[in-house]
Amino acid sequence: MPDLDRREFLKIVGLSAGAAATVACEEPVQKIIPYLNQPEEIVPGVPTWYASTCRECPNACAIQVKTREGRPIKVEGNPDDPVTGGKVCVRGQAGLYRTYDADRFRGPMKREGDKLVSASWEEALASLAGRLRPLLDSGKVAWLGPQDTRVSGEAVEAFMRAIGGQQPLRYEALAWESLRSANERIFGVDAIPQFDFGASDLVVSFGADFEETWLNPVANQRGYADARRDGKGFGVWVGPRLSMTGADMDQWIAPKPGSEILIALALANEVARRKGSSLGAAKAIISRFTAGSVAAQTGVEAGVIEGLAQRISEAAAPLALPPGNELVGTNGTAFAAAVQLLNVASGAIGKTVRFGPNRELGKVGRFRNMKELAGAMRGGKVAVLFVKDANPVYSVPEAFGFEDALEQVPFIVSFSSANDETTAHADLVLPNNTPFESWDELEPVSGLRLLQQPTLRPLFDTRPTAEVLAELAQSVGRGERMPSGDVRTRIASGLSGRLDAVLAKGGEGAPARTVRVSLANDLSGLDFSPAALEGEGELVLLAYPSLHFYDGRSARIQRLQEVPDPVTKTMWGSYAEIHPDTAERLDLERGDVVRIRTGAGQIELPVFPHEAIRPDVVAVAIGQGHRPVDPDPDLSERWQNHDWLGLADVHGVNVLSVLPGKIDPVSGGLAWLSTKAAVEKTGERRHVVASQGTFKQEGRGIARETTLAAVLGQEPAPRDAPELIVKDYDPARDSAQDSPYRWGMSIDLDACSGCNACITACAQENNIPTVGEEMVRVGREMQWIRLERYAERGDDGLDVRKAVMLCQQCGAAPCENVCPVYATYHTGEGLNAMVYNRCIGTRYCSNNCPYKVRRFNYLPYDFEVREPVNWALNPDVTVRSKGVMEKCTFCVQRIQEQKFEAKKAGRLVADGDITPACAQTCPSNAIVFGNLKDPASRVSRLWQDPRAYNALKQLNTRPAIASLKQIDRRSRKAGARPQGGDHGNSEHS
Amino acid sequence: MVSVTDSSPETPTQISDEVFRTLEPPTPIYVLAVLFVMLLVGAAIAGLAYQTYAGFGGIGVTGLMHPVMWGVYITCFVFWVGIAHAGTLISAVLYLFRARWRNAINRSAEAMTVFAVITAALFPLIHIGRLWKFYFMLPYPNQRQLWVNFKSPLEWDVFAVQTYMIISILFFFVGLIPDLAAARDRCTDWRKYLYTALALGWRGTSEQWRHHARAVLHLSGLATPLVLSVHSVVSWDFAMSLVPGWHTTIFAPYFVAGAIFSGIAMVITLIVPVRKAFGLEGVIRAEHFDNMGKFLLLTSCIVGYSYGVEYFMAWYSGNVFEQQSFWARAFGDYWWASWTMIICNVVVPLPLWFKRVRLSVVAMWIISIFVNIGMWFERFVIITTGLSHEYDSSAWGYYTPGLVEITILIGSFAWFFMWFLIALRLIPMVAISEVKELYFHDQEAKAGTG
Repeated sequence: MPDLDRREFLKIVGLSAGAAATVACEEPVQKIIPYLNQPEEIVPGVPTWYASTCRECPNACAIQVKTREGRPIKVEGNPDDPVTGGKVCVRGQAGLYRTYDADRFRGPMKREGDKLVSASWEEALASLAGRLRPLLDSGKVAWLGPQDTRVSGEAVEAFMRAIGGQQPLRYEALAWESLRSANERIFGVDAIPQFDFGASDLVVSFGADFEETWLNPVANQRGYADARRDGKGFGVWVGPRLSMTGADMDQWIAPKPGSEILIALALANEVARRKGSSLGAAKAIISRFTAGSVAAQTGVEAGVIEGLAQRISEAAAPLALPPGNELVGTNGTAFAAAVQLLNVASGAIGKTVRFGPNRELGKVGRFRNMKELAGAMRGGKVAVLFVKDANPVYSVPEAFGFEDALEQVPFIVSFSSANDETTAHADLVLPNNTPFESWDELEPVSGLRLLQQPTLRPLFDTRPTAEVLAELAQSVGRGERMPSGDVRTRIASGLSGRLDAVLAKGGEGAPARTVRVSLANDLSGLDFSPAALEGEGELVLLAYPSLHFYDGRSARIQRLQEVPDPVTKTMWGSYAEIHPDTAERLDLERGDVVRIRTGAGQIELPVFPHEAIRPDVVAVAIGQGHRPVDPDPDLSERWQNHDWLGLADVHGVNVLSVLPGKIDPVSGGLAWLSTKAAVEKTGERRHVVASQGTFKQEGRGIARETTLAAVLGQEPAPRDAPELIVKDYDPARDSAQDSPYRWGMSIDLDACSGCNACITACAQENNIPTVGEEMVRVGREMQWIRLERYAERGDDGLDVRKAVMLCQQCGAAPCENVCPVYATYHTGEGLNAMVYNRCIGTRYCSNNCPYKVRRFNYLPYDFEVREPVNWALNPDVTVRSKGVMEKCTFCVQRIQEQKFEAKKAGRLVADGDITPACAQTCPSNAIVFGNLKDPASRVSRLWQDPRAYNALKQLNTRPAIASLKQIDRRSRKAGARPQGGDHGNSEHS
Repeated sequence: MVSVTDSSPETPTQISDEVFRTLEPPTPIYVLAVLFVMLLVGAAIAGLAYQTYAGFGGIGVTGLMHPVMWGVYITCFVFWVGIAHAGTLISAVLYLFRARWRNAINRSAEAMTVFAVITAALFPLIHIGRLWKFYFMLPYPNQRQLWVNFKSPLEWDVFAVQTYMIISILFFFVGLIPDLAAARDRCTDWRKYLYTALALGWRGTSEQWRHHARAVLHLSGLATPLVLSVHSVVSWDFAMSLVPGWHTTIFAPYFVAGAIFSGIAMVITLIVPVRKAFGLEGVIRAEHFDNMGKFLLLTSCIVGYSYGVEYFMAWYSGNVFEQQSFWARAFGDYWWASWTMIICNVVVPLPLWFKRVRLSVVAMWIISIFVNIGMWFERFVIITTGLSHEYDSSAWGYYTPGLVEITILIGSFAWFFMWFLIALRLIPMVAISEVKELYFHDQEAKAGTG
């Protein structure tokens, strides 16, 4: 460029700098490219649904996977599943991220020095075959896996037999061993029976968090909610900490930690005496325990126990739940036996506790097998260890020295699809396909066979373990001993119907019939005394399984890290929960870091004082505190470049590391409640990452209650505070006159358990980003639904309430008036629509929203940086750019879809056609969506319920969501009044 | 205590000499000062670029959060709009009231107004999430038939602030014309061309003076309602919402009084060093400080009374949300901001009841700085305490401003001072013609009585 003088140059520089600066603000434009060759079964824009099975925990619920253009984007329950009825829990909703996991192994890996490096399948298999050949029939090859699927499990068994290895060990951290042993002693059956919540009118839970992790929480919650409709049913929680499940029950009995067994025994005795039931040989033992005799040891008044015994005796179908994992101590089997004796005394066995169909989970290996394996490894009796999807380095307390034993094994092969603490020791990684990529078959309860089918092609260079094993067997010359055919053929051959037909339904068979059990009553060696709590310190350490992370396996899923804990509303970390009085005594405030010291070690974490816990207990959830393991080295650079989320699982502390490693001598299972802990202030402070500002309502009437008698029509409903009583309005008038629809919702707060499934379903459906710990710390979480939890200490005990807060789609919406650009406006169908492309981000709408349900994209939280996480995006929903406000739309994409269907059929949308993601997954069926202009719709009828109220109605926002009041737990405890009572003469007690 | 010297200049020529001293070649201190504020402005621009940059930037680089979605930026917006009020008040309202003492300070007050409005107008842009779409707020015809929402107080702001900006620039400029002509006549360097162009051919004929006087009068008439309207509209950003602590009818007069309070304080803050640096003691005299002190005192009382009324109404309403919001304002997480505000705005100005204090330049200057701080905090307190403590107690939160916000806050002051410093050297900072007019009035008065 010879003519370019100084001035020209400056002009060009200025112009291009200006242009660059202007362009730099805008998000890059992405083009949609149509298929060149359209696959036959895919119609762009039309989802394909596949029936499959959820594998996030051993319970295996039937699911349907929604795929778009060949990518699974959403998981919903399969309504044909007789166990769960089409519901999925919080973990199941986020299960897709195990497949769309940026840190998964992308292919086989081999160890070079202290690093894992990529290898080819041929190379990896050849080297493994070379190692195995000299070990054939030596018994020095061991297998460690989880509760497995049928085909894959059979392949493992066959392979281990073929090469003459040890019997494979199926290990689950939460294995209900005390329950199995107790059943063996009392009924002569080593099994996990069915607990029928739906048929039960009284549930007494001994620390069994049946709506969180205890057996199948989805089925449990569904049954429990069903049984409680219209004020029926009653729940009692016995345990030191009021868990989410406990808060969903009506009476909280908090005996001294460890002494809960005595309550069970006294109840069994009292109930047996009242009902005259036969307990056989056990009678002699338990007759020692009366309400009076255990009162002193448990700290629970005799009257309370007697009252409960009376209630159980009178109940039509009572159900007592054997101890939840958190309460299993060294007396675990005796405790479970005591509860089962209570079930015998109350007549629950065969009615609400049924043997058959039994849970497959009752067949996994025992903790003592795990110890034996560790012993064998330490003794050099294991030359090759295969590990698949089991992480005992994390989940077995350090006191057992599993990791040291592992280091004695010369060669470890992992089939896990992502790295974890155990796989980090592997010399060879042969990654399995994830459940969303593979065929298999499961039997969650005996008789019911669920199929699992791939919903997308394997994302990476992974192979199904069953086929890898077959190939291995082949190359060591034992191929003929393996089952023939690929996984799909083997599934098809075992079915009674055609594979296609069975796949369409998701499975076949029905839960097995109930078998009668008789009392065996072998109580020898059972020590019916409180759990031994060793160690120094004044507080008892309660390690409880976590709703979000189960035994720790789900901690790597960021979505689950960012959904607030149902009780503490904390995210992304571990917290030591203590009672406020204890906090005051120890001079601790929320966020003060404490050192929890037991005989086995110490952990440091911030405290979280809250009311719903005994003052002599410190509780920590398990599941957090994973050790950082090197991700695939190819990925580490990507991490460094894009990481503001951090490795999802490296948060908090692992409370299992300070459990002293006691076992229940009868079952051989781990004793969770086994130690005291010394809690010391360190002086350090850490920010508590929580979604909730305060746990007090401050008299604002957001979560309201009514009484049981009012629900039953026996007394007038308690009046709201005067300032909350305002004129009624007709929500049907808040849409255009010529529109047949006004969308609305009702949420039954009495049915809601607070299980967070709706939040996760909503996030998956609506492309809501996870923003990471740093963002959440400053209060920028993005979830559109907020489950509010209130715990206030009143004159008559602790008052725990909840509220579900999402966009109310107000008829007179304060957000709409203040938007200068009409980015949010009222549609003809009464929705507050949000036009993301029009939004300039003044954020006035959020300020003016009294419900505080609008969320702002503070930074570019796009999914781009997390390939392949962005594959889970729902193409029907706009991905919001930075600087844009977003909020609940009542799943407007689902509304549009059904309106379109109705239009094609020449009719109006019928009630029940449209189900938003939150309502779809709610195991309690607490959320009902529908048309408020149709007086016959379910939602319109629920609006007429005397329990219905609108939050903050006094602001004249005309919300389209009615909440149904919770029924006051105290009034539930008092019970319904005898029929025919005189209404005029009511006395308040 | 340095007393204000009350020496009137002798002759009209001396007045001109004294004022035009500001246009003499700059001292090194001046150059350093300009460079320093430019550096701070540069830092703020870098902060804004960081906030806007496509790759990783966003409003998230500030401390804003859920539920406090407005913070330092909106505080600054309201603050600078408030500062902009004194200029028009002094120029237009006092002109109409024939308060002649204004003549000595109106030029700097008007300049301050223009620069403050320009500063204020930047903040809504800095604040919005998608800066590059700011034009969505303007009602322009477009193919998609998208229109703005005239129900939104933010849209009212767009018009109120623009109107105010145009009127105040016009007012400033019309008042400047005779002085620019005078400068043109004295100037010999490059600025002569500038002044020639800007003086619009002013020759000082009686015809021109007549037109000029009419123009000033009419513009005063136009500007006077704006003094009340602009800050009323700004206050409605808050009052029209339903946020407890925002939703009150007192806001319009309360904000206008506050705006005048802060505006006068800023005039004092600026004029004291200018007077000292350029030796304008003869022109800006004791009576001016006395009068401004009275003004400060009056508006401080109004503001203090408004604080009281707010708390009283919250209590008297029986409304649990209002009561708790104000309880939290005084004793909650933001107690420090609330008490800073009350001390600076209500307690610190109390000595102004004494004439001795009003006549002390140093005391006035210190008090004015406290008032500036207090008035900034007033807006901060209203915005953040209201938002952090709204209806749903589960959604309460605590907002801490981020580094970028602080940088831009400091940068906004630097930006304002930068323009003021540049203007000091380019335009006569005292309205020469008006001061001369005053001089001749005095002469006539003396002659008449003597």
